[in-house]
This record gives sequence, C-alpha cells and structure tokens, in this order.
Amino acid sequence: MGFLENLELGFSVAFLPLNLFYCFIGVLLGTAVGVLPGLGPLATIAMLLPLTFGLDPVQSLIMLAGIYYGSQYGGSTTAILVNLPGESASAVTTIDGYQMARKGRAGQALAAAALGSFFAGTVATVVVALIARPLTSIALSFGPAEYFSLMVVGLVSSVALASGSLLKALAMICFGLLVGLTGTDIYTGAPRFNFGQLELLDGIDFVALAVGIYGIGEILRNLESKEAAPAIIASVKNLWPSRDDLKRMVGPAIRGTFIGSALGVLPGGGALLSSFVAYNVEKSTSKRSSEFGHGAIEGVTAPEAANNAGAQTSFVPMLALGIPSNVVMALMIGAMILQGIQPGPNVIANNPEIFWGLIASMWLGNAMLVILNLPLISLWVSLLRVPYWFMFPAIIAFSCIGVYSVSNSGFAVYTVTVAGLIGYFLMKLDCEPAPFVLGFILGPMLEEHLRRAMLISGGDMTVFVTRPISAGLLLVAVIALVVVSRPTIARRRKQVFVEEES
Amino acid sequence: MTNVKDAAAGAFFIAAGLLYGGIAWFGLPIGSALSMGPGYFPIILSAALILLGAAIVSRAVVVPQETPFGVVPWRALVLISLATIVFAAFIDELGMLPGVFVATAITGLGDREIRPLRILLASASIALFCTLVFSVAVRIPIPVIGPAFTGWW
Repeated sequence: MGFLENLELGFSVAFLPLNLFYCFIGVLLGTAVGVLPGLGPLATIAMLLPLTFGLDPVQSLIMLAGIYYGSQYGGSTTAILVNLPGESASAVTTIDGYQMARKGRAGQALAAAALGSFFAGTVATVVVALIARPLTSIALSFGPAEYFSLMVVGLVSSVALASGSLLKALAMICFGLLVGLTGTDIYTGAPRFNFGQLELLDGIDFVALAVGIYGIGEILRNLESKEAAPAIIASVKNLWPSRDDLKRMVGPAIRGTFIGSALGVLPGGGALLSSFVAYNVEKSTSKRSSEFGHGAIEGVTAPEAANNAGAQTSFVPMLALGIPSNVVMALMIGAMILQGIQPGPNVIANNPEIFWGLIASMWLGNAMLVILNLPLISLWVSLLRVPYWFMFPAIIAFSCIGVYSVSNSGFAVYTVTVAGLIGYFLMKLDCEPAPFVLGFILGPMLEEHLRRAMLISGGDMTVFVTRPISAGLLLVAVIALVVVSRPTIARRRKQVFVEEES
Repeated sequence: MTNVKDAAAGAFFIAAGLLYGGIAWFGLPIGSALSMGPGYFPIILSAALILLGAAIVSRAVVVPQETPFGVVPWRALVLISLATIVFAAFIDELGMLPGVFVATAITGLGDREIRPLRILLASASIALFCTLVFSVAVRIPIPVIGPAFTGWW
C-alpha cells in the first residue's frame, strides 16, 4: 500500500463520527485538566486513562492521544497566563510567554503557541507517517537479541537525557525492572515477588502505580510550600497577532518543528528536550536576542512548536518498535496492553486501522486544539481560579475511582498508596521516577527477550556482541553512558535543568 | 560532611536489592543461562542494584550535600494515605456517594489550615459530581449508596 492509501485509510477511520467525538472529548478533557497548575500530561493521562477502558482499542488510543496533546497545550496556557508551568516541557514558555502577558499581549502569546503547535503538529504527523513504516520493516527483522539491546539503549538514553545523578537513575532503572517482574513467571508459572498477595499474581497494576507516583506525589509536593498567594492571572484581550507578529513567527515555527521532530524520535527525547533546544537555538541566532526574556514572540513560538512536534514524533518508536521513548509513551503502551494489543512492529500489519487511524487523528486533534482553545480561553482562565483546597481532594477522589475501575476491586487502590509514598520519598531523595516507570514497563519484555535470545544461542552470552545490529545498539548505549558521565557534560546537563526549575 | 540524602537513597537501593535478591536466591529456581529459571534475571538485577546502591553511598561520603531535604507535609501525607486506604477498604460497603464523601473529607483535613465549612463544601460537591459522572453516566459498578446503609430508612 502506498503512503496516500495509508493516509486515506487513516482519515477514513479518524473521521468516523464516534472517533471524532472521542478525539474531541480527549482534547477537551486533556486541556481542562492540563490547565490546572501542577498537573502535567503524566498525571492527567494516568487519571483519565480509566475513562477509556470501555472503548474499543482505536477509540481509546485516539482519546488518549487527544488527552496527551490537550494536556500539553493546557500546560502552555497556564505557563503564559500565570507563569506556572503545568508540566516541565512548558517551563521554557513561561520565560517569554509570561512577559508578553504582563505587557498585555497574553492573547498574542496564546495565539502564537496555538498556531506554532498546529503547524508543528501538521508537519510531525507527516513525519510520523513517513518514517514509522520503514522503521517497522527494519524492526521485523530483529531477533530477540536485537530487541534486548534496543531496550537497553532506550533505558540508558532515558537516563542520559534526564536530570540528576546518573548512578541514581541507573539504580532506579534496576529497581523498576525488578518491580516490573512481580507476578507469575510466564515460562514456568512460578509466582514471583507477590509477597503472598493473590492479587499481585497478574503483576502490579500499572495505572495504579502511575497514579500513585505522579498523582499523589504531585499533590504532596504542592502541599509542601505555604499556600501561594492567589496567582495573578493575566487578562486576555485581543487574540489576533498583528501582521508583524505573524512574520516573526514563521521562522521560529519552522525551526522549532524541525528540532522537535528530530529530537522526539530519540529515546528519552520528546517534548521537554525539544523545547529547551529550540528556545536556545532561537535565542542565540535571533537578530533580536536582546528581546528574549522580555516577551519576544519568537521565544514562545519556537519552544511550543518544538514541544508539540516532539510530543508527536515520540510516538514513532512506540508504534514501530513497541518501545517507549519516554514515560508518556510508557503509559500509552500500558494502555495498549490493557486493550489486548501487544505494541510492536506487528501492529501496523495486523491492525492497520489502529496505526493509521491514530496518526490521522493526531492531525485532527491538533486542528481541534486551535479551534477549541482560542474561543474557549475564558473557560480555561476560570479553571485557573479553582482553589487548591478544592482541587486536591477532587484529584484524590478521581484517582481512587479511576484505579478502582481498572479491575473493579479496591486492591489496586492500595497500590496507589504504597507507590505514592515510596515515589514521594524517592523524589525527596533526588531520585527521578521516570527511569523507574520505564524500567517497570520494560522489565517483563526485557527478561523475555533475554531468555529467548539465550535459548536460540544455546546459552551463549556473547550473542549480544557478535550479532552486528545488536552490537551496534549496545555500542550506542555505552557511548551515551560515557558521554553523559564526563564531568563537562554533567555540568552542562545540570545547568540546563537548573534553568528549568527557576 | 556526609550527603545524608544520597546515603539514604543508596541504603534504600541496597535494601531493595537484598530483599528482591534474597527472595530470588532462596525461593526461586535459578536455572542456567541456556534455560533461565524465574530467579535468574532478578538475581542479576538485584546484584546490579546493590552495587549501584553501594556506589551511591560511598560517593555520598565524599561529595558534600547539595540541596536541603526540605519540608515534608506530614499531616497531608498521613491523611491522604488514610483516605486512599479507607476508599479501598470500604467503597464496596459504603457506595459511591458516602464513600467519596468520606475519602475527600479525610483528604481535606490534610490541608494546612482546617476549615470545616470548606471541607464540607468540597467533599459534598465532589461526592455528588463523582456520583453523577461515574455511577450514573459511566456506570462503574459501585452502587450509589452501598449495602452498609440498607435498612436505614
């Protein structure tokens, strides 16, 4: 099938009225929750995931994808209007976005973010459609040894691009892999690490784990600080950018899209890294670099375009290889498995309607974001006024009900409690949870491929370095590790991520 | 000065490695590289975890503390945990409306200042909202009013 026929199939799926409806609901809910300060895409997806269980696989993935970019856009709105990034990827947007808002140009900043994102989304959709397929055919020739090495690369690079200590991140990966092995051994049927709990024989509920770490963890961190003074919300007057604004947006949007599309495909890359790089590129190349930090429209457009493009192209490794490049994609994989689809190169062959339907709906979702967000901006602004004393009990209630509904039992809710507590204290000890969650998802797959590779090679461990593709992948992992552990790079990494927190 | 945070993190990883490694070593068949038992991969991982933990601890002795531990909202932590546990244990008995009300009220007590009226208002409206959305619209199999209340009227 040619590229156009595939897209046609995709759009015929995405334009089904019911699918359009779920895409819309996803974008709407995602934006509504994403606007709330302190709730990033991860917490949003984890909380809203249970709503998609009743749907068929195509609908649920379309809705989840909608929730994802909706929440990301919602985060940008909060960043611009109240100077609070709802998620780390929009941290850069606060720099110039909030300055624009203070100068009474909040409307233009929002429009720049929306238009930049839409342009990026359109291009990135095509990129995903173009490269996912060839990547899939490469992946189909992979044996277990190659898969094992590929997952190692994914895990290692998630560390390389994360903030904080390398050793701790590696330890978090190992811990995550171990916890992920909880349940029944698929080869022998022996129960493992279930601590006598029958409910854990099927493994630890992934949704409960994510809700605990990201939902409860976020709430506790927000409650640490004294109640913030009621945030000053910039008022939105005129939405439409002037001709001059538009002219200034074109270049940054294109460059941001390019950077985001390229970095999104990398394991561990995605939205966060993309927006940082795009902002820095604009700042250092712009003729108006002195305006950056004081409300330059380029400083809003470029990172917003980049983070949207990155968010979208990070679907590529997930769809083509079945390997999550970041935690959001890990959640998507968790959702696919719950729907009975084993993510990987076979999805495109066995369920083309899912694959192409999802890609087409990405573009539709982006179009909906523009249509939805600009007119509804006053609604989002009023959501920003919801006080925290109302919000955090509501988040707890939604999380509990959502997790309960995954298995219709209260047991999973206990998992939320335990995961929340352990996750919170590890965060207090500067241990980022992302490598843990990736490890948790990849644990069973990694073990399965390791065992299969050993069965095929007759127990010969050297198979990972004697097969060329596998050896090449492992080499990449080693290089990534060596590069990030070098002191100069380590210092630069720290600088980048300190900037993010300020 | 020793980096207390890093030392604690390292100790946690060592403990986790010992726990999982111990379970795998003593309780699970290990097998051989050719046909791995359920304990093989966990033992490798636990060993790696213990080594990494040890490295973190030993580095903590050399490198001084970087960031303060900060405050822990203990009351919120205890009450939020309690709320989720109460929800897990009693939701089937209480039903959606009372169950959510109780869980959110407990959560609300975890706020820095306790204002009874606020908590009542928040809990009542969240409970009502959740009942309408999840019991009536999405039809999650939790009864609106649970069996615990049968015979009360």
